[in-house]
Amino acid sequence: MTSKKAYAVVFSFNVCFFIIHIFLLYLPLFTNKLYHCFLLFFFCVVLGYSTNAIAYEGRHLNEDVIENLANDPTWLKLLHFKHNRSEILTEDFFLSPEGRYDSKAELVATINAYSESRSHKKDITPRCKFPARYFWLSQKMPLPHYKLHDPQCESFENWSLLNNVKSISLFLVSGYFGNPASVFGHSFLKLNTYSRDDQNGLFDLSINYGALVPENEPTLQYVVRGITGGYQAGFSDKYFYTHDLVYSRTEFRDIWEYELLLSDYQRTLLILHMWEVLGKKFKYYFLDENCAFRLAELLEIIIEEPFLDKVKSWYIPVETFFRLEEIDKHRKEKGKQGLIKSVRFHPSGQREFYYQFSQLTKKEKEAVKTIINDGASTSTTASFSEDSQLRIIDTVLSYYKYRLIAEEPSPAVEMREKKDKILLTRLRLPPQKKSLFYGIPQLKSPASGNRPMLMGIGMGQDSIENTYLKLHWSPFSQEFVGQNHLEGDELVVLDTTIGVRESDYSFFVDNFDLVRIRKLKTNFISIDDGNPWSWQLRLGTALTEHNEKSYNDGAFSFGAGRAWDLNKSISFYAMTDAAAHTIKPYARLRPNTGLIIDNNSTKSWWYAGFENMEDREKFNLVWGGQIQYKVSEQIAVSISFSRETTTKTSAEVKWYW
Amino acid sequence: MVTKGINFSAICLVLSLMIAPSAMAREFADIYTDCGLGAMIAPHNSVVAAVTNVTWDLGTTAISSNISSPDSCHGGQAKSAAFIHDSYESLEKDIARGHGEYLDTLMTLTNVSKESQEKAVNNLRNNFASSVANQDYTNQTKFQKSENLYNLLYSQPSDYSLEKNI
Repeated sequence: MTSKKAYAVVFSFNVCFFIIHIFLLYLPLFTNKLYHCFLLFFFCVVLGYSTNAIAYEGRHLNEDVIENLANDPTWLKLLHFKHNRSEILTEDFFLSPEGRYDSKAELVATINAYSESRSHKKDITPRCKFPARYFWLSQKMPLPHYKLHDPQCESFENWSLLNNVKSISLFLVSGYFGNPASVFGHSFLKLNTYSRDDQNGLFDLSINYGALVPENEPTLQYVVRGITGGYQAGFSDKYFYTHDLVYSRTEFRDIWEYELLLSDYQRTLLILHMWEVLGKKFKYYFLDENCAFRLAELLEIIIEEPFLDKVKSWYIPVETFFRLEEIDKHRKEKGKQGLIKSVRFHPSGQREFYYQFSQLTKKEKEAVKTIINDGASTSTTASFSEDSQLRIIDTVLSYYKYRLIAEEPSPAVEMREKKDKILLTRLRLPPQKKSLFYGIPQLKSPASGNRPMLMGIGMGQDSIENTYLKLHWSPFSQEFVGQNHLEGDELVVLDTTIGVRESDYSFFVDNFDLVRIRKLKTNFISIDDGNPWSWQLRLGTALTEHNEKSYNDGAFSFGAGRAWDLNKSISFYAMTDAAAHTIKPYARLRPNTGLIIDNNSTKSWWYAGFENMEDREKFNLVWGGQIQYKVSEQIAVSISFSRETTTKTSAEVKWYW
Repeated sequence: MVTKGINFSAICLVLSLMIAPSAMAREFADIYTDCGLGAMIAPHNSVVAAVTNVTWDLGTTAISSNISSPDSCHGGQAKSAAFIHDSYESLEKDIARGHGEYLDTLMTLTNVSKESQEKAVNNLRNNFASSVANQDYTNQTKFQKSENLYNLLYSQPSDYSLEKNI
């Protein structure tokens, strides 16, 4: 507590006590000065009595002002306070030694540090390190000589390009089955400059949040430490093109960009705060305090409506986007300006390549196949028009690019040679100013479908329990029959159905799926010699009938096969599932086929197959189906029927939230 | 007076020697070494790529942005070099077709004016075709290919307004 820092008590209790004492002792001698003495007393008590009042630039801030500012929600958010402590672990994020646990101490230290000598401390003064704090404070109290653009803060100015950022976008990256941590997707922020020199925004700054995972971390350790808080994490900045290269062009993930409608104040405060937290360490929890959670925290600093008030034990990226859509809708309903300026779809590299191939004529497709198989490009395309030649060669080039990425890190030399040959062929043909392939269909955002959490209530009937009340819950349910962006795929986690017997109101587990995934490659094209297989996986238990008794039959099943889009609304698949069961027969096979029909509001799934469910060698017919009607964004009604070991029928109302 | 003149000349000579290197195109290899190119995105290693969401290393982030990389890595040439190295595969495809957002960005990075862009792209395509026609091209490392493209760009005729310094 030095005088230079001005973290000094202006009128300490002792000084006040002394003045009061003098006042009372010599009161009779000063009766004619009573008025002035009273004023002195009042000044002393009201302004100086508190030991926490601080001197600041010749003014005095009393306890109430400090207290109010220290408990201001925005201040607490700027410090990342939760449960009376900051979640930031990095020491130098705090100016006060008690700053991590005491928002008031940090506020006082921040105010006092404002006037810290800055003539010879370029970039490292508190004003340069914590620009958001001072920007916010400048709206709450007079900060003498405050300037948003401080010439001392050169690094920050270079980094933020504050005057050039026109808007901020939030990106939602689709799930990636190549890694368990990415299955539920990813999100990050981008500062849009719309620079004349960089119209595609590839050099716009992107802010990403992720855990610091050591290289070559064993998978199991990675999962366990990720869930239990075993890693530190932080915000990092990258040029946008690095994200584009990884997500879109290497992992082939679709991306949706939500450009936000923010005021100048909101945009500025967010950019300033990003600078403050860049590189600061947090504890990482994969299930809740993950990338999506931290980005939502950033948004909560500038957006009035809460994002995280209803967070459960987990938080996935798409939830932030559902909330954006919700806030936007509510604002517009009230006649206010919305929150979303636009939603833009960035197709993955694979989607672009598939679309490119689909746009070719039959003859052109044949030529592409011939070149890929035989390698002779010039003779194959000689009979085609120049436009057709370009379309064919461009597609072959895209094919090799796609295949080489898929074969990383060690693509075959032969493949690279073929690519270089076609590259040279293309270079010798005339350049095009625009793409020969345009109009790729926009895929609707995952946030325009069902919310991920499911709760259902309905009636069920089967040959064991007769009629029963059915309670259904799943924290993440993207079903075949739901409204989602998965294009026929399914991803359901912890899918739980509890039955309540009518007779004695007792409970039983009707069905429990720890995880259920179905990945249908319906858009697979003939020239893609990568993995064409569709597959499904289920780990769970279901109530079943065995020797006229009911059992919960645990099962792990995995199946593979092929799938096709018959038209825009019907997909068909054929698979063979192999399963291990906990009741006899323990090992089962199920060749089966299915149809998924999508009529917008109504979606249905029908399947039929054979399974050795009663005897190891005898295969019985199994079949069933489910039809679901979307009543509103959050509510759907569903009817299902299945005839397997047990015959089951059910109807339920589902609520997605 | 004479002494003052000699001193002044000496200062000018020293200053000119200090300034001279920055007025020339920087070598790709120097930028590669100084600025640690290649650390900017997850490598094409399946294990690392698979955990991209959670493996951003704060230690390497500074290189890619305006934040705290060495001053020598801020300029247009360093930026171009990093961009070429990181997005070589995308650039290769764009150059072959004669258009694309990565090629557009490269052109603006190297200060090719809009009016000259068509000419510059055609010139680049011709020179790049000669490189690809080289029998060694397939076996070249990514570094070699990037360096070659970088040199092609920075040896373009001056009427394309390509920057020569920074």
